[in-house]
Amino acid sequence: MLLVSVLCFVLVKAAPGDPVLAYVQPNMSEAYIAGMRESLGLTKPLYIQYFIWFGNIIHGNFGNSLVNTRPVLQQILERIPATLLLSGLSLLLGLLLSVPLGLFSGKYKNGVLDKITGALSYIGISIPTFWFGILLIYLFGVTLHWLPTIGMRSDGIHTFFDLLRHLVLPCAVLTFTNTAQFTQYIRSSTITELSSDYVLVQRANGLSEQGILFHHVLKNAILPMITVMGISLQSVVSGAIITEQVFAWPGTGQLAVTAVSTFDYPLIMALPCLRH
Amino acid sequence: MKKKLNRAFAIALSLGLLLTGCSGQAASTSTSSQTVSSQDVSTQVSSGAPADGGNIVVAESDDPQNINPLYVVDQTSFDIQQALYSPFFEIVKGKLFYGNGLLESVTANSDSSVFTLKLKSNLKWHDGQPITADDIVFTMDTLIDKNQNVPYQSYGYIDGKAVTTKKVDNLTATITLPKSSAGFLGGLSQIYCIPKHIYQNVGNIGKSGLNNNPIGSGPYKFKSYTPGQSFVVQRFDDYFDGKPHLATVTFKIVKNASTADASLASGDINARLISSTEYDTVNQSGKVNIYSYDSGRVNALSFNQNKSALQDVRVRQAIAYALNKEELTQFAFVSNQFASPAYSVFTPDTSFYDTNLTKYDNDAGKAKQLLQQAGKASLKLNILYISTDKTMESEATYIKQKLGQVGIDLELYPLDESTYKTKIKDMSSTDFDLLLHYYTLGEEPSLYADIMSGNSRSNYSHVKDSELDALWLKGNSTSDTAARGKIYDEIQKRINDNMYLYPIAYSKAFYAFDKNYGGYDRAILKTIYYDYSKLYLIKK
Repeated sequence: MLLVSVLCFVLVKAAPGDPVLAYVQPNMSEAYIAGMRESLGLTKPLYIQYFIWFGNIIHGNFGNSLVNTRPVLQQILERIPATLLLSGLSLLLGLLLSVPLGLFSGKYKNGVLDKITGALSYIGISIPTFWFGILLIYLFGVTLHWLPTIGMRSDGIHTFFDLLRHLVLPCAVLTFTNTAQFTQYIRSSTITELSSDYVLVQRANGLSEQGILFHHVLKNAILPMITVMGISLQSVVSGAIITEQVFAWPGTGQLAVTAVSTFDYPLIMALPCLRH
Repeated sequence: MKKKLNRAFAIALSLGLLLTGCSGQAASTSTSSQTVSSQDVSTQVSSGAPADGGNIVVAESDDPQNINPLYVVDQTSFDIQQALYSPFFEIVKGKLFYGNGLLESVTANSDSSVFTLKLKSNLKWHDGQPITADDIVFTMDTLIDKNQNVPYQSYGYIDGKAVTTKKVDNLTATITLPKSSAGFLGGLSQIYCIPKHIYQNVGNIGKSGLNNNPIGSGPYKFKSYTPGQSFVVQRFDDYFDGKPHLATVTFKIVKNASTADASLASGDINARLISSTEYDTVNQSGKVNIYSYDSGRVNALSFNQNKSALQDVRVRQAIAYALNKEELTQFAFVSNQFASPAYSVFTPDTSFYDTNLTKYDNDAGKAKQLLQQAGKASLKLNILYISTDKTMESEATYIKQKLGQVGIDLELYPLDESTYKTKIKDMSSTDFDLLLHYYTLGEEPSLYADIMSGNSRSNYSHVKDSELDALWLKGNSTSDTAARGKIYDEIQKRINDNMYLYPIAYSKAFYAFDKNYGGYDRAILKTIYYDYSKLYLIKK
């Protein structure tokens, strides 16, 4: 946390340009600009600025946004539910789909299922999320008119069904990507496990192939997934930046894009710190 | 720059308006020769009878930053402000327009140093409280209050001295200027009245939580705001200029332009400002009407005079001669449907626009000769622009190729928008040589001093010319039209002859509007719709 906070602070301070100038408009007086710089503590030495900032964040005070003056923590907290829902659900669905696909692809290596799964996995891993998202929007939103193209809810409608309709496309994009990655990990582990001695012993003992696969191989094949899931879990909070932006999903990923594009450095520094 | 584009768009008052006031008798600026009617503002006719009710979804690229009209500095807040608040008056086609304004008239005294503002009767804030002269006084006092840090407080100051506002009666107030100013009414048209009964005794209005639940005077009142999603306003039934047609207006936040274009086609979004690069994509959907209008924007090339090489006028002129403006405009904007070559720092609709300036027709030989005379036969420069701006990228690519032909090695220097903005506002910056940028300043020539006078933060060329500075001041305080015209002719000529700035093109703007909606012809089409009350869903 300490290291992350130092890195965040140094990187933001090392960014080119004066952050105050990002908010300066031609009609603003020099006195106003000087007041703005003073109120942000930017006139103090860099190390003092860091200690003030770090002292505040360990007390849960991440400061206020330079853009809209609202508390940074409040802005992040109000976006987390949307990100949790989208990223969490797509992670879960990705796992649920990839386990059987990976297991059977590994079991029936080079079979029809393996070839189809392999092809889809390569597409899923290599396809640009942005492009795939727009493709789905045009197909299901513009051409077929089945699903909404943007946002999390229709205005004034607060039903579960409406939320579900908005969730389908962004979730499909993330789930497809997650499934593609997870399936290949599980397939690879399954192939390794199936060639292990303990599988031969189980077969010699007369255990059925399904029994071996689900009771013994699965437990070992899924182990590498713990590491992969651990890496993926941070996105449940930090958000899927591109997907959230494409679908105008109001999560933390979109907030991060806004923070960077407006040089809102209290927000830029807070987002990585909260992930850790 | 975006804020500037919006804020300054409506600042457009010619001195002719004040001249009447200066001619001897006190003159009302609400006379027919000086004002514009609702019919006059109609530019394009929309068809279909209006339905009562419905909602329109307007796309915005970001969340609003601050809805309080004295603190609006971003595009989204500016758009929403038009629905929530009414201006004192608008300036349309260089004339005063009171239709959607709170004022019935603005009257100037004989030397245009005192303005009398008369409110329309029976005006109400969204909470039902009456709008009175006390609100005008409170707004103007807040504007000039240094402790309130209003970004545009310069509108309340003339030559560093604050204006004084006094209540005459419940509906009348006077504003006394320390000295007459030709541009004062242009600034006043940008001020939106805020309610005294809400904000009085608030120490820091800009950061007040009261701004999150705005009480305005416009055709729509605040309904809800969901960060990252939408800002919704609902019809204000007591609006003074007639009951608005639509029940609600939703400002939907969509950051991605490609998604927004698709949503226009699907009907999830009903209105959006689009760029020329999106024109064909959006038009092909067949779901929208696209309206084009002169954006008032000038795309330009500035020469950073903090760099020694560019302090020599011959180098700047050589660069101008190396370029072919028609070719450059065609290359950058794809079609002349989207822009026309620019030859003055003023736009063609600005008062005293000069059509007789030297055009620096493409002449590579002359460019090389000038460079040799300057002792810069071989020169290495860079050009700064926004990396995501396709038009700027094309401009930079073209300029690099043409300057290469006269011996100037030009390095492209693209930066992301936020870094670009901080870089160009640094008055002492020597990181860039040439700069691609744009500005929109309206029809009032005095406002163009912003981009080309000594201490202005928008003087991106960092020109230091005391004679030019003096001309800008003289132009703003001169009352006689002919004399003023000569001053602005001289200014344009001086900038052009010294090649302080190379105007590239006057661009058009495009607004895509769902075919199921009408009323844009009465909504005063500018960068946004200034009067949302006139928009309607077409009855089927």
